[in-house]
Order: sequence, then structure tokens, then C-alpha cells
Amino acid sequence: MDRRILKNLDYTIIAVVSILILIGLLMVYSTTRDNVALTGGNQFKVVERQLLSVAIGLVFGFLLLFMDYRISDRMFQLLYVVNIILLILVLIPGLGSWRNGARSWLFGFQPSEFSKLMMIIIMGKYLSEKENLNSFLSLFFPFLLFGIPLSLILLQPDVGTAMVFIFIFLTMLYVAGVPGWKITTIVMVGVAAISIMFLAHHFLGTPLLIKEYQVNRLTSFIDPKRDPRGSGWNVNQAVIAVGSGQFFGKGLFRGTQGRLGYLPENYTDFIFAVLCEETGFVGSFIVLFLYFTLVWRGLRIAVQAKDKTGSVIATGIVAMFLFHIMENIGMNIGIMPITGIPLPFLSYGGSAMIMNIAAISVLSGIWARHQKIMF
Amino acid sequence: MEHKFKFLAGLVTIIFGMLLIRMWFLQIMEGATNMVKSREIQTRTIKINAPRGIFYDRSGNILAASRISHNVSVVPNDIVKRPEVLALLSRILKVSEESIKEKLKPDPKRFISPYQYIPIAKDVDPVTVIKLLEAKLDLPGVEVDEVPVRSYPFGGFACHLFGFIREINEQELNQLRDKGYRLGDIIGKAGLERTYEQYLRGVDGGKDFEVDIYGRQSLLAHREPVPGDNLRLTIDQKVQAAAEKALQEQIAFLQKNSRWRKAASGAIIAMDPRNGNILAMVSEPGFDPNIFVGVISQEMAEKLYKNKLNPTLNRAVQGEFAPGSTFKPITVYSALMENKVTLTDRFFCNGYDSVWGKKLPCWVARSSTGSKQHGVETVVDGLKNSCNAVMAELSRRVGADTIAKYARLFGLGRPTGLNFYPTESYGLVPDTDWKRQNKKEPWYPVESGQLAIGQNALTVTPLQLAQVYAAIANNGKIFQPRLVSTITKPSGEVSVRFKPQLIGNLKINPAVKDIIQQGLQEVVDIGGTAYGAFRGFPLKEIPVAGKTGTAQNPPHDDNAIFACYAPTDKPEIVVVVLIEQGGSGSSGAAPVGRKILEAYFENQIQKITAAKNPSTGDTKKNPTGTPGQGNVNPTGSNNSPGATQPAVETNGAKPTPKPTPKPDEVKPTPVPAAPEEPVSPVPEAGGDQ
Repeated sequence: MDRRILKNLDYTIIAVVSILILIGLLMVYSTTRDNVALTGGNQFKVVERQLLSVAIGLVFGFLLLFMDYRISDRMFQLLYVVNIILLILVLIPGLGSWRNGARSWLFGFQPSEFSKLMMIIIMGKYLSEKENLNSFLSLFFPFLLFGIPLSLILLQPDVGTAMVFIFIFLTMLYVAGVPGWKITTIVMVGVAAISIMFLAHHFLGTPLLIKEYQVNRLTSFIDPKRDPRGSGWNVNQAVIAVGSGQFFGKGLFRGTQGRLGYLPENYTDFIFAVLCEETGFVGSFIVLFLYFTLVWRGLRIAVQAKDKTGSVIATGIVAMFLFHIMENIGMNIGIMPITGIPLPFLSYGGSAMIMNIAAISVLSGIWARHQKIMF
Repeated sequence: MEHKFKFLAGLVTIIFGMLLIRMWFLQIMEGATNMVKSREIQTRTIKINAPRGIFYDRSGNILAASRISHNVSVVPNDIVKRPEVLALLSRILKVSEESIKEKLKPDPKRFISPYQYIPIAKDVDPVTVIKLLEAKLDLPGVEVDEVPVRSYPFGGFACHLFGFIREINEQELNQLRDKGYRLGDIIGKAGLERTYEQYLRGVDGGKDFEVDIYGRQSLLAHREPVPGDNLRLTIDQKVQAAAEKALQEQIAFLQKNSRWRKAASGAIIAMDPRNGNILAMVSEPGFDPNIFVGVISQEMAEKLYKNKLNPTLNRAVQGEFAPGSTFKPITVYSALMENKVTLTDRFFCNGYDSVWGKKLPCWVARSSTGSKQHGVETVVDGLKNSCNAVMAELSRRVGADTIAKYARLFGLGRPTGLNFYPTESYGLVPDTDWKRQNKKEPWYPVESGQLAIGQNALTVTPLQLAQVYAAIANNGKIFQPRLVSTITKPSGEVSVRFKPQLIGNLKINPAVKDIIQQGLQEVVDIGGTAYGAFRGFPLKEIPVAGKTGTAQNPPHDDNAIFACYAPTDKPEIVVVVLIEQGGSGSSGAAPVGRKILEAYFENQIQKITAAKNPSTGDTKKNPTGTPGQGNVNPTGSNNSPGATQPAVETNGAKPTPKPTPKPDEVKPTPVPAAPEEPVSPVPEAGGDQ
């Protein structure tokens, strides 16, 4: 059976991901090799660490491949509790550490990254086994199940990841059987609630649930000129980097926006801008096409999955990738708010890399098991 | 289920489509703009000014070059966000922080990039430069540049000729942006500096730096400036200096020692009739073009612009004056050409014209000495005596329109075609048609007589008058006047060579020329109106043909004019001297003309004098003793300006040998005697001498 799984893997996805990882390593090298503060003199230091994460991810992913996505009830409870505990631990001062305005790090990894995949698997089991999802009342428990980790993430506060969670959850609900109009209604209610919160803050002075600077960061992409040295800086510099690549780019390793320090976070959140600057429209189109292939293939897996659980989980994983891609590339090209959402397989970051490879592994597992005659 | 995935597939396509469109927009549609932005943020450019081209006189002496000046520039973006730097800078430069900020303020009319160096102080003194360099580490974004700036080592020497330079203004900037002019660039505003701007400016160089977000710079490229092309002028430094000195001294002399105290301005043109080369061009009063290089103080600006005499006016090409008697050769020429007079004709002058009587007196009638009449004269005597009665008779024989026709043939009434800024004035040659059209009045007969003696509405520029005498000297060949013979690249390679331009040929009959020239030669000889000024001049060896003119200029005093050429057998130089309100041509202007000729023929005169006085051989002593003036060596050959090394002065001090003392430095010496030839002050008719 093990050998059959390997035989039935979707090698297109694996090839696409491999190429993306290689491009990512190249771009991480390009953006960090001259940053002595980061590398301490060893030009390959950051790339080596990224490579280590890839290796860990591959081992972890390989093991996951042989684990059935249809988890037992006990496993369901265990995963959920571990997930909640990790998200609580990261909030405890002394254990979790602050980075970029959020307490999201626990002993060098980010629990919220793994939480995404865990919640997808958990919700996949729960939503596919739930008989009735037709009434609003029936959605109460799924919302509660999902709302607890979401609230913990918002407490970090990591608005970007929270948005990923919401998008994943709504997409999974949709595929699991909730009618489109109900999803739309839920979204409208959410938007209305947020609007009321802001209006109340503006007129009545009630406290906002997020901080002012986060609001600025989220809205600066709309009008970066309002505060060009502050919250608008990153948007401006990223857009200039992307645009100045023109058709063929400035040449690999020859980007200047990042090297001269104008574009911050150029090896993590804004690595796509550097890719555009150095390889131009040609390079960025190729990467965009690879992502499209990944998402398209993922959707095919969701459609052709053996059972509803596989279908819902695959949809969740696709939604996660889709949102990461849309949000990260969108903020790099100035059409999405700036959040700390990394670009899958390209941005530097261990937790995200391991989790992304794991997610591909789960997706591959669903595909490998989709032909019923095999089992 | 199926339809939900179709919906999701559509959503995916839309999202990727939007990303792709936005990337196309940023990278392809706006790619170039973003590239420019990226470059602008990351690069700083320091301009390295190209030195302007050098002016050489016709024998290769440097007349205008460059010196090193220190400028202070700052990057607005680096300064404004660091108040401590601004404060320190303001303390060292001794200017207020506000005034610095003002210069860096974004101005919608003129784009100032916040990332590029903007000059805030020019020609900073050496002490301040040292202070700035000492504080360099505390002054990031502040740059002290060594900039070559124009230097005129002889101060006001040939100021109208050279013109001046100034920072480009907004209007010029808008017009010339395409030619590569930028804010803060220097541009020629007048004179040769403006006329030959495109050659003189050169190509600025620069240093391009790459700058990171912390302001650390690394040199990307160094572009050497290309100096401007050099002009080889037709000007003779010796003649120009002598002309300026002679004119200034004569004005000072007239103010102090004569009735013509209002004499204060004038012009001189010296020209080579064989090719149109201008050897000297002088206009008084002048200015020191060096003051325009730096910052002009209020005091200097007022002195310059509130002066009623308008020192920046170039009277040699812009001034329009009645030529007075200097026009008479044209009257005689027209009569000869129309066969209306022969050498055997006799005229009679009893002090007044025989027909128009007191409406057209001869100057001799009001002379304080002599017989108050010229008596019986030939046409040659008419020129020699500058007799109005003879000219009036000729005008009756020829007619005003014919005289005007010949005047135009000599080039009057239109620009000479000199390539120069400010552009020349046209002057005016009146005739019967002109009067009818412009004054709505008929031409009165007496006006023909007035025209014949160079009055009425007739006006000429000194340059036009020089062209007339050059044509006479040259048997009718008229060359376009020129100031520049060649333009050479800094390497020495000739880029433009201007050939003499023959623009007209009257083909003057030798017999006709002989008559006129004889008359003009007698003017400077015994009994002539300029004899007083030329007494002692070696006329045998260097025969001079000249004509004095005293043009009425009511309500002001008469203008003094003198035009001449020499040597008559093989003319090399034409000189025209004009002194506004200088009284009379013979005593006001002719002495200046003589000094210019002495400067031009200096070597020959020395040889002649040495031959005459073999025992003494003292060439320094003025052998002639011009009346009313001390001995003057017009050129000061030993400390001639060209003998010094003016090229580049690092300390910014002006070179010492100025060609002339200022008028107010001349000691007042009470000389009671009036100029030897008294002048008629009566304004109503064309008096002259």
C-alpha cells in the first residue's frame, strides 16, 4: 500500500512546489547575501537555515503522507487540545516572544502557522461528518470550534493570520454544504460588525479591538502618500521595486531596492517585490503561473477526492494557499493591506516552510487515495 | 457540490487575473516611471561645472578665463530631517536656518528633487570653506564643491563686449530645458557670453553616487566635464585698453577742464577695413562683469541699475546718434557719383548758406576767432573746413533722396550684421517718403541741407559709422563686422572658423575716392578741423584721413564725433569715437581717436621717433603734446594687461593691473584754457566744425 501511494502521487504539484522552493532559496540568497547584520559574514547562512527547514519539512511531509487524513475521534480531540494549548502558551509572557508587534513566537517557531493545517484537518473531519448544516443554528458549534483558536490568534494580535483563518473556514463551510447566500450573509454581518466597531470608536470613543498602527498598516495601501515615511513607506518602496523591474528585470542579484535598505523585510514578506525587481515581468509571470498551477491542481484534488472529508480538507488547503498568495503578492504590488503573511515556499521562514510542505503532503495523500478500487 | 467548485475555480481565475493585470500595469505600463523613481531615490548626483571657454584677443592674450570658487550644496532630504545639521550649517555659513530652508522648499514652478544636491551658498570665502571641511563629519548631506567660475582678470575691461553671465532664470529655464539647462546653471546674458553661449558653456560633468537608506554613498560613475570652446577674438588687447583709457581720461578731462561738464558717456569702435575685424569696442560708462559672477549686493545693484547713464547699454552698437559732419563724405560722394560737382567748381561761404541763409549757418560764423567765413572753396576745401555752405549747395544739386540712397548703399539705416547680443540698432536715414509717411508733413527744402550735414532725423550707430569709413578706406568693399575669428575646442582643434564676409561693394571710382580722401586728409593736417588734435602726429609716415563731427543734440550739449582711417595708402584701421555732450568733434573726440591710432601704430611711431631723435631715443616721452593734456602713453606697453597671467586665481582676488584708473581718481588740475577751437553752442541749425 505504501508503494502504491508513492506511485499515485500528483507529480505535477510536487514539481511545481520543488521549482518554487528552488526559486525561493535563490531569492533568499539574493536578498540576504550582502546583509552582514543578518548573515554575520557567511553569505549562505540564511539560505542554509531555510534549506534546513525544507529538509525538516520533507521528512515531516513524508511521514504525513502515510497517515490517513481521516483521523479518529480521539485524534481529533488530541489535535484540537494541542492546538489550543500551543496558542495559549505563545501568549504567556516569558514563553512567547514579540516580533513585529505580535506575540507569535514560541521557542523559535510559530504555533499559528501549524494551527492553520491542524484546524483544516480538524474542521475537515467535523464538517464532513456533521449531518445538517442548513440552519444558522446548526452553524453555532462549528463557529465555536473555530472561534476559540481564532480569538487566541487575534490576541497575539496577528490580524493577517486571523484573516487567513476566516477565509479558510468560510471556504470549507461553503464546500461542506452551507449555501452561498448564507456565507454571504455571514460575511456581511462581519463587515457590518467591524464597521460599527470603527464608527463607535470614531464617534463614541469606544476602544478598538486592534491598535491604531495596525489600522494604519492595513489601510495604508489605499493611499500610501498619506504617510510616505511611515505606514506608506513599505507600499511605496515595494511598488517601486516591482515596477522598476520592467519587462526583463534588473538582473538576478542586481536589485537595488532591497540591497540598499529601502525595501524592508525583503527576504520575508516582500521577497516577491525583489523577484519582480530582479527578474521583471517575465520572472514574476512564471512564478504566478506556478502558483496558479498549484491552486488549480489543488482544486482538482478537492473535486476528485474519494470522500467528503478529503474534499473539504483539500479545499481548506487550497484556500490557505490561495489566500496567502493573493494577500502576499497583493501587498507587494500595492492592492492589498500590509500584513505579515508570507509567500508560500518563497519567503524565508521555518515554520511556514515546514507547514506548507506538510500541507502539500496532506493534499498529495488525498490525491493518492482518491481511486477507491485501490483500497 | 460540482457547481461550488466551479464557483471556486472562477474565483481563483479572477484573483490570479487581477494580480497579473496589476503586475502588467506596474512593470510594463509604469515600469519606466518606477525605474526613474528607483534611480532617483538611490542615486545622488553632484554636478561638476564645466569651465567656460576662454576669450583670447587676436594675438592670443587671455582676456577672460575661469577661477576656482567654492559652492556649498545640500541634499534637502538629508538636511531637513536633521535639525542639528541645519543648525550647524547655519552657524558656519552665518545665514539663518530659515533662509536655507527657503532655498530647499519645494516650489511648484521649479522642481527641486529632495534627493539631489541643491546649491545654497556660492563663492564661499576660504575661511568658511575650512570650517565646513573641519565639520564635515557632522554635516552629512552637505557638500563643498570646487567650481570653476568665470573670471575677468581686467575688471571692467571690454565689459560690454564680453557681456556678463548669471544664473539661469525661470523663463530661460523653461525655454532651454531641452538643451540640457538645469536649475542653478550659468548662462550668458549679454555680449559675447550670450552670443556664443552654445560654444562657451561646455558640458558639465558629474559624480553619481549610490546611496543606501542610511545615507552611505558609493561612487557609481565619474563624468569629467568638457570645458567650453575658446573664442579667438578679433579684438586687439592693446587697442582696446588704449581706447578705454583714452575715452575715460578724455571724459574726465572734459568734465573738469572744459565747458562740457555733462560729458559722461561715449563709445568707440576700431575696425580693420580689410576684413571687418573689430579691434576695439568701447562703451562708457561700463561695469565690472565680475560682480555678476557672485552674489550682487544691494549697493552694487543700485549703482548699476539706478545709474541714469545705464552702464549696461552698449552704445557702440545700440546707441543711435546724429553723425553730424562725419556724414559729409557721403554727401560729397553722392554729388561726385551723380556728376553734380567737379574739382574745378568754386563755392563761396560767407558764414551762411547762400539760399537758406540763417536757417543753415556755417559753424565758422560763430567761431570766436578768424574771419567768420570760409570764402572761396573747392569741394575738397568743403570737407577740410567741414563747410556747411558747400554741403547745402551740393544737397540742392543732388537732392535729399539721392543722398539718402547713397547713405543706404554705405549700409546706414540697417544693422551691419554683426553677430552679437544685444542686437544692433537700425539707425535712420530720412528721405522725403519717410517724412511724408511718418511725420505726415512735406519735406522742406532746408531739410536737404540738414541731411547733407548729417543732421535732421539721420541717426547712425558708431558701428555703422565705422562701416561707412571702412568702405571709403577699402574702395567701396564692405565687410560684415565680426568679433570672433575662430572658435577652438579645448584640445586646440578649430571647431568653427569665421571667414571675412564681403557683404557689399560700392566699387568706388579711384578718382572719386582720391577727392574724398584728400579732403579727409586735410582735416587732420594744417588748417583742418582736427589739426589741433593731430599736431605732431607723424602724418607723413602714417597718413590719416579723418572727419570731425559736432552733432547737435538739443536740449543737451553737442555730441563730439570723430571718424578716421589710416594709413590712407593702405588702410589698416578705422576708428570712430563718440562722446555724448562732448562739445566738439575736433577738441572732444579727435584727441581720443589720435591716441587710439598711436596705440595701434605704437611700434612704427617708436621707430619714427627714434629715427628723428637718434640721440635720445626716449620713446616713453610723448612726442606730440596733445593740447590740454599731459603726456600719455596710451597703452602702457610695459604693464599691458596681456603681459600678466590671468588664467586662474584661486583666492578670488581680482588681478591688479586694471587698464584704466577710475575717473574720480584723476587729480583735478585747474586748466583755465578752453579747448582751442571754440564751438557754437547755438542749437537751432546744423552748426559744425
